[in-house]
Amino acid sequence: MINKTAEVVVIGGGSIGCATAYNLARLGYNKVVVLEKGYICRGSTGRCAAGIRQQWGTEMNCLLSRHSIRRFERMNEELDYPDDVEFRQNGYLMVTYSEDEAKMLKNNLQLQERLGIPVQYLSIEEVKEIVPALNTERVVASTICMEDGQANPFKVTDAYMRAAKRLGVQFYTGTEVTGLRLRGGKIEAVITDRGEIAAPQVVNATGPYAKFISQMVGHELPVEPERHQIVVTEPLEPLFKPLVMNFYHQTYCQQVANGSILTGYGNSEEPKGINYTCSWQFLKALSAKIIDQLPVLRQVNIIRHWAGHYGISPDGQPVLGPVPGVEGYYLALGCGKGFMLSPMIGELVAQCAAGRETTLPLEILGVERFKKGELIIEPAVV
Amino acid sequence: MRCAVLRTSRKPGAAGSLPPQGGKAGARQTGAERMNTLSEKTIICRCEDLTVDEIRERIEQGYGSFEEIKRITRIGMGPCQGRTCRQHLLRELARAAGKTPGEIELPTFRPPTKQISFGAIGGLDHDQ
Repeated sequence: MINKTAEVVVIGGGSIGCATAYNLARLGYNKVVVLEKGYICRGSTGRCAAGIRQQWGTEMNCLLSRHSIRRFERMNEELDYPDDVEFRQNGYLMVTYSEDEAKMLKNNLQLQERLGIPVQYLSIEEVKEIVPALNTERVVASTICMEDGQANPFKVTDAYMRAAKRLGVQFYTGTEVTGLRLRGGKIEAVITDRGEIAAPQVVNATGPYAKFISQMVGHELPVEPERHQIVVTEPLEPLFKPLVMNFYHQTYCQQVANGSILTGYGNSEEPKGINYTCSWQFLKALSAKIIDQLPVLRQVNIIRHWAGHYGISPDGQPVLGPVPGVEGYYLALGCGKGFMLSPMIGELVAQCAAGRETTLPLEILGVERFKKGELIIEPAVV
Repeated sequence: MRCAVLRTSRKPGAAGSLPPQGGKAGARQTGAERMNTLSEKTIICRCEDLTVDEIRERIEQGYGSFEEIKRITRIGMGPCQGRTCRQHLLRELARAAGKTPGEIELPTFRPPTKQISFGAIGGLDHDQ
């Protein structure tokens, strides 16, 4: 039987939900409940490409990722994790084939330098040296940040979940939220398929499902699910270190810890919605994109193919904090970068819900910005 | 420029992945009986180099479903895609839960059915 009451209910058992629950408990909440309709990491966290980068084109994305990386660096110790979250700083190599994209990279570089993010502009010779397997024929510009990297999303989420459990947080998996009850514009209870939980505060950390939860309180959230597909290959001997992000092909490609190549992209032309099917069209297009970039992978075998979602926001930035008009309801949405920003999103949303001072200013990423039209568009997305 | 497929090496001191044949002479053991005779160092997932005691430890820690154990240990995510280890893990989960393997929920079976190269899919190899 599930708890009948809670101080705060976190919906979503991905990296953000678990990080938020951990931070809430750390800030003194005694009754924190996490609800997950499947199992921990079933959704976007468990399906993501695992990359962690600071090379963004808006100040908030840069700051959130900069602070998150500091937390990934000491995560095993901070969360007292007996395993390893496998955080590796092998860098992110950004590659462009056009003058326009090159200009975007140079603009971003200025912003990143101002914020103290160590990014380097590379010559073609330097690119060849860093990833000898890369086809540089059409490369116009490239940058790298060696502090960027990857971590194991399952282990990161597990680390947050275990730390949260030690602080008394209750996790209910296989428990689906079917409604939210309001009274006088305030959150009163969370209705699940296993009973009701009376709670004055709710955090929506459901990634691409966020708009469906918002609809339960009559809130129209402009965050749409966009399908991304990824494949992983048989493991190879070490071939290249950084994640290669190609703006022309809209792909990400990296060699993960066990030697496999992990690569994918999302087709932004597809109709928005939840869609977990794997398509042949994707495999065919991806293969051409990969052979163009890394011809050496032509004979390498794909062993696994899956689909997941980004929650796409109108400006490519996260949506965080309270929702005006629905007291006690908070959004914790990374919008395509949830996993990599989960340490900071968890911390900030917990601070905000607890009425504490936030480590970074949160207001700028509030949901009202879409109504007011105050969008700062993130240019560096694929 | 070439790339080489990585062959994983077994853990030092690990026993072979086939359970030892024992029991009554001439009597054929059931799978469940054979699982009971495994040594803790017996590998049940060859791709990810996982021993039966590592899997049992995870089950004891509360990772009670195939999907959860897959995510935390990578069992079934290697080149064989679970063809070797799936039945072993199902038996372990069934044993722990007091059920039959048929009652344990299976993980998602993902494409491709057989390994296939980027070149074969891209169709580029046929153009040359």
